[in-house]
Amino acid sequence: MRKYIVRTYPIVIVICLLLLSILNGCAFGDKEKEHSKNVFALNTWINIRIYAGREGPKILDRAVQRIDEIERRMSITIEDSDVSRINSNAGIQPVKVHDDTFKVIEKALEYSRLSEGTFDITIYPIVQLWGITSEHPRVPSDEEIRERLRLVDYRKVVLNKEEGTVYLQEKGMGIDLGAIAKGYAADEVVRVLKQAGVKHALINMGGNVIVLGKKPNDQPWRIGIQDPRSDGVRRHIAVVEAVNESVVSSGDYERYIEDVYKKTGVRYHHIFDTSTGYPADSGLMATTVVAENSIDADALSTIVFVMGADKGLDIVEQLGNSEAMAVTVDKKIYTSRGFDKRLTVTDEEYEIMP
Amino acid sequence: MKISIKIGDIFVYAFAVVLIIISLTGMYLMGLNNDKRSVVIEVDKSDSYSIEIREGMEPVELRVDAGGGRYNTVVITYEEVRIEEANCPDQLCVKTGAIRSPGQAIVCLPHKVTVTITGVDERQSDIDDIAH
Repeated sequence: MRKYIVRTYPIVIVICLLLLSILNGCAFGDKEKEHSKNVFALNTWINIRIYAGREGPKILDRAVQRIDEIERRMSITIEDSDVSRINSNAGIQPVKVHDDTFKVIEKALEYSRLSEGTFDITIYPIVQLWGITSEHPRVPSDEEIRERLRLVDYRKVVLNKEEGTVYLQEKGMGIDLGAIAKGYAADEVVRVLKQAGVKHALINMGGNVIVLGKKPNDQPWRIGIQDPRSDGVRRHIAVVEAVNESVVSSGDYERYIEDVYKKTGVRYHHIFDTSTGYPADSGLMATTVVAENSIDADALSTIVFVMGADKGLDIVEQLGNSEAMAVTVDKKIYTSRGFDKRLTVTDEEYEIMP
Repeated sequence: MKISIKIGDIFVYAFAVVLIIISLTGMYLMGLNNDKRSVVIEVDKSDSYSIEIREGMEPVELRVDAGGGRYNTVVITYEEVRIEEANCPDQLCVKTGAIRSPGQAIVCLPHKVTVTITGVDERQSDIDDIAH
């Protein structure tokens, strides 16, 4: 009897251990799965979704670190950021800035020239005056607007490449990188992810959607285009398939003075026309730009929105580094050449125009 | 030699059986996770075919040979999977009709043929995100 037990138990234990090791191999094997992280940065919600093995969380941390760096340099609400220092030294002296900040301002000025000042980071005095995104927005007087508009001029931003400095020539001037910093940050996140070997990722930077590669199932990502008149409900009017691209929308629906809208029906939103100092009024509710680089998509979505369908889509076609659509207030969708073929309209109230 | 089993032995064997079940279930679930939506056809647990279901795919018609002239014809489309025809006596597999989602199965008992859908259904959400 004793012998029997002694003989059998080791075998049973060995079998158990074997099976357990198989189980462990499966459970802790470096299989790719979805890792996701939410952060609040650059004045918005950011979600990063990647497909990676066990190093996934570390990769996400690295991406978030990069976003934090960019925010520290470009945020207008952080007192010692490059942007704040540039603004407080306006008309006083050039300010040495980090390479990140320099690159973004350089790119912004490039788009200012391309759009003949439609895109202009020196809009900050006007942004401040209206305070659309602040707690107490208001409609300023024409006189106030005229006075501040004097300070809006991208040609008065002086860059010195050797010194790495930025100088605003007039006192009272200020820059706001809100229309371009998210794009730059997204491109940097993509760079971090690629370096870490990530093949599939989706980043949502406050509504800017950036996809890396295809979906893990080898299908293109399907990105919805927000309904500009859904009263804040997340619903889409069209779908575009994307691979290694950014899909960025701008519109009058995201941030506007609500109580004024309720009383008067006028939407004073957060995207300004640099020629009037008022919120852009080009007959559009929304624009969406799809580009390989998020920084281009970010800048161009604003440019098309302010310029309107005709001129805006012309610029997009001329540049050739992106595709775009513009939604008019009467729910007609105009697209840059060929983009209509990529677009699936899912809301029958909207119509693609030839 | 006469074999007698004690209470302790039963515990040990029961423990082993539980471990085996946990291991196998674990392996099965791991295998299912983050897979593409696929049709897995098994014949008598020996032969196994797996076909991925892709959007825009052409319908696939497969004649599954269960040996000895026995067959089941499986039709796979992006929308659904069904057994179109079989020469089994009870025809239950044909009557089962179409299956669509991961976890569903069609079984032909006489032929020992199973058709199951595994993986993740990408159709559950039409879009991956919204740009706004």
